[in-house]
This record gives sequence, structure tokens and C-alpha cells, in this order.
Amino acid sequence: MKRMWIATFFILGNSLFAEADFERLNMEAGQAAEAKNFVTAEAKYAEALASASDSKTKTQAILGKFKAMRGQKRIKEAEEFLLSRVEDPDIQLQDARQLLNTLAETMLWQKGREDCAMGILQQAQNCECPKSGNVFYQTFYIMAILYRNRAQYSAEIVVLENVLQVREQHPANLCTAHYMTGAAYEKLGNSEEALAHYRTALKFGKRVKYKYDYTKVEKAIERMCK
Amino acid sequence: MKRLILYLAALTSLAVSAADITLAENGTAKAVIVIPEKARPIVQFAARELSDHLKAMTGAEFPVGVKPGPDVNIYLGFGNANSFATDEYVISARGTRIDIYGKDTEKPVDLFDYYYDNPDKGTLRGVYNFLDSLGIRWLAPGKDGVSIPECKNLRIPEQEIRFKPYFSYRKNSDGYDFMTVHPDARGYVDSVKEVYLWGIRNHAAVRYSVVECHSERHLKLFENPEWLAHPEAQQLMKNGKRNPHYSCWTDPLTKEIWRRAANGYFSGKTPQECGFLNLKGYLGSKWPFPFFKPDEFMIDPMDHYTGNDGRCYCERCEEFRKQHPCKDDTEIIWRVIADIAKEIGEKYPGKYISTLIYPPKMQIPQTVEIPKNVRVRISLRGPSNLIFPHKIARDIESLQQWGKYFKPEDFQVSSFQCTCGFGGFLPGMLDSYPHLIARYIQTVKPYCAGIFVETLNLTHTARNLDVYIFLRLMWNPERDVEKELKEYFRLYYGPAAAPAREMFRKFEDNWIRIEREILSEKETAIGLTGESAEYFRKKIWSQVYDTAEMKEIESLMQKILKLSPEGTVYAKRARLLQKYLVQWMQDERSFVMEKEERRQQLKLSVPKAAGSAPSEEEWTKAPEYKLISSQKMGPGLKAAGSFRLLASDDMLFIRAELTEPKMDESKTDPGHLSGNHDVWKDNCVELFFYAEKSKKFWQVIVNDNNVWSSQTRGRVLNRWEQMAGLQVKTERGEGKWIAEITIPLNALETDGTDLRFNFTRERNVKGVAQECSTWSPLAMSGGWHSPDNYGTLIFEVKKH
Repeated sequence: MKRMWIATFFILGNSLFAEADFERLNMEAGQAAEAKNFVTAEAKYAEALASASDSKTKTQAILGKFKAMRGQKRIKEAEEFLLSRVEDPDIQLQDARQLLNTLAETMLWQKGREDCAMGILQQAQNCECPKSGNVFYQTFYIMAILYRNRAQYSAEIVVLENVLQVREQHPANLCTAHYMTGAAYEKLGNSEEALAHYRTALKFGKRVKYKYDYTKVEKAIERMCK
Repeated sequence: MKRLILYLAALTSLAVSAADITLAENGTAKAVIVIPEKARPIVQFAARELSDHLKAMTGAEFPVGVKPGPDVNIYLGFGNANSFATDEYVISARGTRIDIYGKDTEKPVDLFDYYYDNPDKGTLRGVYNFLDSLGIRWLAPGKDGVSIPECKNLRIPEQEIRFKPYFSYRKNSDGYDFMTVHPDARGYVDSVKEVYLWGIRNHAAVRYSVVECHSERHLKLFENPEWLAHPEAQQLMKNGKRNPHYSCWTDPLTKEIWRRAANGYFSGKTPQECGFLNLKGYLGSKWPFPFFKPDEFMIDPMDHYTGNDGRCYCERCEEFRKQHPCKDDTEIIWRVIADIAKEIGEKYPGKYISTLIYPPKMQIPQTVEIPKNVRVRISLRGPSNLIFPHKIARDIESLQQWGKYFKPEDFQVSSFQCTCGFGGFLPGMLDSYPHLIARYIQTVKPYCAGIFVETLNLTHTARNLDVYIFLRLMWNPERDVEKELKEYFRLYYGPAAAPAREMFRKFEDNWIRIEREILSEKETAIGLTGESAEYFRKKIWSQVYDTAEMKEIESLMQKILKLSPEGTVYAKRARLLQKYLVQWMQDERSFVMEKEERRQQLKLSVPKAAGSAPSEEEWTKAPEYKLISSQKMGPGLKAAGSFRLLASDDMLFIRAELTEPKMDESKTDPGHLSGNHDVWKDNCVELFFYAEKSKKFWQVIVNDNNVWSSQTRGRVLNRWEQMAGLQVKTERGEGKWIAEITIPLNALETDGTDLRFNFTRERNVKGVAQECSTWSPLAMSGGWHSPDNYGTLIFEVKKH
């Protein structure tokens, strides 16, 4: 019995120390990254990753290290590193999705990487996560941009439907998703659907509690109503 | 027989004439309403209510005046009620005199005040009970919610009643925000005042003590510069960060701030004089809500939620917990409350400190003595805990244990009937359970002064019955719920009472099933959000309110509509029920389930092949599945395509015939070999497999040049991996190409019942825009990779 208590105490103690270590290392790494000292940042994030005890903190450290590596222009290596960590069983699916979203986002504006980004997102969309959260939204938002850039507007609409169906999504996200859907319909020449989505976008835009710019939505409605 | 009827009629008429008082005869009033010359406003209001209701009942005008009439006189507010308790009243009817009185307020008529705060409504209570005895009911808020029997000849028996309700506290959550929170509010009332009136008529009690909860929020410490300058007094969360919205209850500043606030409040100081610069007064109080009852100040921590348990994890709190072991923070927080209450009790006799028994302080404090001047409301789940014997036993034990520390009038129950409505957790569903409410009232009756119930749902129509029954039984717990329900449905739905009652019986039975079979998976207090909500919604809509059950509800609704004569109040009520309950359920259900139900309809039959390879005859007989354009809103297909399926014990055979008028223009890269990762850029087809149970995913891409590649999915990522044992044979022909693909079933990791599938095509030929097609209509371009969009293979003979 006594041994069990000692062991429990030891484990608890260790995990508390590890948590404290992580907080410290993560903070130091963040400071280094902010000072553009990416080499130090990478090293600190690696240490933070080693002391991270749960999915959230691990994800934080992985993303930090990924960005620090990219800061050193080691793009391919950074991507490989991130992908190598995604299958870590300690990383929860929703955090894996966040990692993939981030990776796809960095590829979004790199010429010739669009297909790769799309492939990443197709995998991300199968990682379950709360539909009300930003991680869920980001996957489809970036996908929609990719389809829009390819002028595949009907596919853009299909992808955005995933977000529009979720009433618990943040109104700012719903505003953007409806606006993009409206724009896609407009491109396809369906002005009736386009206007309906613009109007819904405006409704959600007005629900955002912080200062939120929805003038582009208002302008789109004005344009359609002319 | 005829003689017997005559005898009975004579007997009845004798009974009426001997002991009854006539109020109206043939639509003419035989009574006047008499009020004192300087009648208080509430008595004048009671007289109007009585006169109006009697007129609606008999068709006669019942004058209100200060002088008695020649016949029967109904005297309002004349008796001596000085010694009466709140809500106590007298109805005395003898000969030609009827007296109704109780303790009455001097304040002017203000329905907000009468509903929320003013307890002295004795005469008015008496009048409503008098009307109740005549069969008048206020079944729902607003004019159409009143049920008044028509009766040209109105007689009442002589009677002597002095009544005081068992429960002094009877409160539900209807209130000022009724119009904004219920989309059907205007279907009942034009203004919120009618809701207050409904509550008053049904005897909802005022908020006389332990008003509200979580008063820490209302002190707005998180905006207070003094507080913000002392982060050590703020909660230290588990992640090591301070949260100014919560307190560290072992920090001296926390106690000092509450001490200062309570002292300031009772000494008549303003919040500003006590250092709370940003607080504004409420209802004549210098202090904000809920600090407005002259004899009470609430000390109660901020509410907790899933992301924050409300506890501080600083070293001092942790040390305290070690020294005073307790399941939660009862000892820590009660130490502050009890010290301040003691001080207040000494300085300001008759003044109280109130608080909730609510996480994180649910235990009875062992190291602190609770002073006598403390009032509490204990938060319990409420009637739905009756479904689980161990839970209700736990609640009763809490009531018994806590009850020892307080005077009965200072001890109330707070309960929740808002699992569906709280945070929109289960939209379209209703936690309606009048029978449980009735049992719950009887269960807690011996232990407390009354109940507050938070009845939330997204429409009022979904909650009207439960609120009504709650108020009826709280006013008089001796009432029989079965009789009450029978009467409610008879009066409210008239000719459609039977199907309406059956519908609500279903709702109650279904809720009990939901609690038992689904929500019990996870211990939940009142509501959930996010992932859990999504999970529970799907489960409830598919297991309890499945398509068959929804059909039955719809059928009952149609019966109700059919039986409710057009132009009557019953038709109006039936339409409210349809629009704001049944239709709303259907909409919400289809919102959650439509796609999944459509997906479940997508089935592909896979006939069994006789041998290890299908014969030509078998191929011809196998069903043909055609491809459709996968471009939403796009033009029709220029090049059609279809496929057929067959299976042996071990293999799945797929033969696809793809129309291609420009076969020579294929964009397929002849240099591609099987396993190449760019095969998808060729003129190709793609097959998607997903086994539900093993979660095994495969994507197989086959071009028109006999080349194929496949990828499967790990936990997260796809990886290119050639499926072992897969065989492909393609053939280019005149105006078409054919692909024959043989898949080993064991690679798909299916048990033969759970295999989802879709077949898509990417037509890539020179001079023509890429054309994409799909078999599953759910898998439009952009949705090919999600198994939520695939159909299910139905193998004619199960794989061994």
C-alpha cells in the first residue's frame, strides 16, 4: 500500500513538474520566435514537446516548432516534421485536424502546392472535431478558397455547405461562409441564391458581438439589388 | 324510470335552493361587488378581475361599487387580515353575503411588481380561487389561454374557506424576457404584462428570498480596478493562468471585498462608496440585481462550466484543501460566507446572507458553523431525477441533511427542466413530464419551503403544459395530477383532447426513455454543447424520435387539426401546437438527420456470382448503376457511365462501362505505371470504400490504360499503398472504355454489412473541360472523400 502511495505521489509529482517545465519552455520558445531567433525557438519548442503531457500542449509545441523551422526556410523539413507527428496516438483527432489545417494554410498561396493542400484538407475533414469550433470551420474555409482559386464554384458551394449547416458556428464564420457561397452562386449566374446568401451573411455579420467589418456583404447586396 | 328521474330532479332543485347562493339568473346579475370606499388599488383590481370573469361566464354585468345591492353582495377586502400570512385568504359565503379578503398591499397596480416582488395579494388570491371554484382556468398566457364555462344561471354553495398554500415558494422561470426568448410569444400575448398576469392568476410566488444565483457576476469584479490590480485574489486555473472572472476564496482580499459589499449594502451606502465604481442600482436599490431585497445580501460564487470548475488552484487553496479535506470547495467558500454572515448578524439584526448550494460547494461544511441568519437554495436536478432511484435518493438525503441547518422558510429547492432548451442543447425536443413534476412536488414537500424551476425550451408551446401543471400543484399539492391533466386537455383542446393528450403522453414517455437510454451515458446536469450535443441529437432522433415515431406524432397532429373546428380557439391552439412544436420538431429532425437518412437509403445490391469469376450472363443480370454529374448546378453529363457489381465469397467484382466519344483524346499519361501518385490526373475512375466498424478506408484509382493506384488511411493520414490482391483490367473500345476491377474483400476489413461505397469518374480528355461524375448523389465534387456521402453495399449472400 505504502509503495503504491509513493508511486502515485511520484507520478503526480512528475507530471506537475513536467507541466511547469512545458509552460516555461513554451514561453521561452515563444519569446525567441518573436525575436525571430528561430534556431533557439526550434530547440526550445523541441524541449517543450518532450515535456508536453497531453494532446493540447503537444499540438502547441508541434505548431511552434513547425513555424520556427519555416522561419529558417526549411519548408520541406518542417512539413515532414508536422506530418510525422500527426499520427502520434497522443494527439487527439481534433488537434490533428488543427495541425493539418495549419499545414494546408501555409501551402495555400504557394504556387503549385494547391493540390497538396487539398489532399491535406481531404484528410483533415475526416478527423472528427466539434462542429461548432474554429478548427472545423478552417478546414472547409481553406478548401473553399482552393476551389474558388480553381474557379470550381460548385465544389466551393458543396464544401461550404458543411459549415452552413452548423448553427452553433461563430456568427463571423457563418457570415464569411454565406458570403463566399453567395459569391460562388453569383459566379455561376444564380443571382437569386446569391442574394439570399448575401442577406444571410449580413444577418450573421450583425450578430458578431465585437467590431466586425461586413461592408463587403452590404456592397454585394447593393450590387445585386441594383 | 320516469318517476325516478322526476324524483332526482326535485331533490337536486331542493339541494340548490336550500344551500346555494344565486349570483346570476338567466343572464342577469343577482349580485354586486362591493369594495371599501378607500379601496386599495389591488382590491379595485381584484374587483375588476372578478366582474370581468363573471360577465364572461354569465353574460351579465356585475357592478362594482361601495354600496351593497338588494340581492347578494360580494365584499372584497373588508375582513381583518392583519394576522394573515402571505398568500392566505378567506372566502366566506353565507346567505346573501360573500366575503373575500386577505392581506393587501397599498402599492398601485403594477403587474411586474405584483408578479415578481409584491407578496401581499390576499384578496386577489381569494378572488382567483373563487373563480377557480367556478371552473375558470388560465391554461396559457393571454386572452386565448383563458377557459371560462358559459353559465347563465350561476349558483354557489355556502362555504367557509380559510386557505394558506403549503409552499410559500412557487416560482418558475417565466419573466421579463418571455417575448424575446420565445418565437411563438406573440401567438399567446401582445405584451409581457399578460405573462405576469398569467403567473399571478396561477399563484406563482414572488421572489421573496435567495433571489437569483452567482451574485459574484453582478459585483463585476472583473471590471473593478482594485480587483484587477490584485491578480493573487483571482482564480488560478489549472493551466497556471489567473482568471479575473473567478475568485481565490482563500485570498484575504476576496473576503474583504465581500465583507465590504455586505456591510455597505446594509448600512445604506452606495456601491461607489464601497469601491464598486461600475455598479448601477436595480428597482430602487442602490445596488445592482440581485442585491435589492432589504433584508438579504447574496454571497455566491460565479457559475462553473465544463471548461472551468470554478476552483482556484493556488498554493494556499491547495494547502487549505490538504488541511481540510472535502470533496469540493465547500469548506473554503463557506468559511468566507459564514464569517461575513456572523458579522452581519451581529451588526444588523434581522438581516440575512443568502447563497446557493451549488458546485463547487455542495457539501455540508464540517469546519464551519453555519450562522442562523443564512438562507439557501439548494440546486438539484429536479423531477427527471425520479427516473433514477439512486439519484432521487441522493437528492432526498441532501435535502434531509441540509434541512437540519435552516428554518424551513429559509430553505428552498432550485430545479432544472431545461435539458433541451439550455444553450439550445436539444432543439426541437421537449422535456415535458407533468407526472414527474407531480411526483417530485410530493417528494420534496416535507423538506423545503418550495421550488424554483427553470423551465426553458425554445418555444413556449413546448413548455406551457408543464408550467401550468407545476403552478397548479405547487399552489395546492393535494390536487390530483391525472384529474388536472384530463381537465387541461379537455378545456384546452376541446374536441381534440384525446389525441392531444396521447401526444403529450408520448412526449413524457419518450423523455423518460431519452434519460434512461441515452443521456444516462453521460452524467449531465442541465445541458451540453458542441460534440456531445451533436452526438446526443443524432442518437435521440434516430433511436427515440425515429421516422416511425415522427409519423405517429404527425398523425396525432393531423387528428388534432381535423377535430378542432375552424374559427374556434381550439383551432388556434392546435395551429400553435403544429407550428411551434410538431413542425418545429420535424424541421429540427430533418436538419440533423436528413442527410444521414438519405445516405442510409443509398444502397447497392451486390448479387452473388456462382463461381470464382462472374459469367457474362451474370454481368448482364446484375443491376446497373448509372453515374450522374457531380457538379452541383452544373450541366448534364456529356459522357455517361455506369457500373455493375458482383461478389463471390472472397472477391468483389466491379465492371464499369464509360462512354467516351473522344477516346483518342484521352489525357492519360502513358508513362504512368501502377502505384503512381498522379494517376488521378489521368482519364480515370475512382472507387471509395469505407467499412464502418473497422473504419478502414480505401481509395482505388484506375485509369483507362490498365494502371491503378490506391491509398488507404491510417488514424489520420492517407498513405499510398497498393491494395494486396487487387486486379485491374481495362479495355479501350469504340466510343467507350471498360474497367474490370476485382477487389479482395478481406482487404476492405468489412463484416459484409457495413461497407460504404461510391464510384466516381474524372473524365479528362483533350479539348473538353474536365467532367466529373458520381454514383452517390450526396458525393458532389468537393465531397468525394467523406464517407458520410457514400452508399452501402448489400451483399446478397453474406460473406463467410
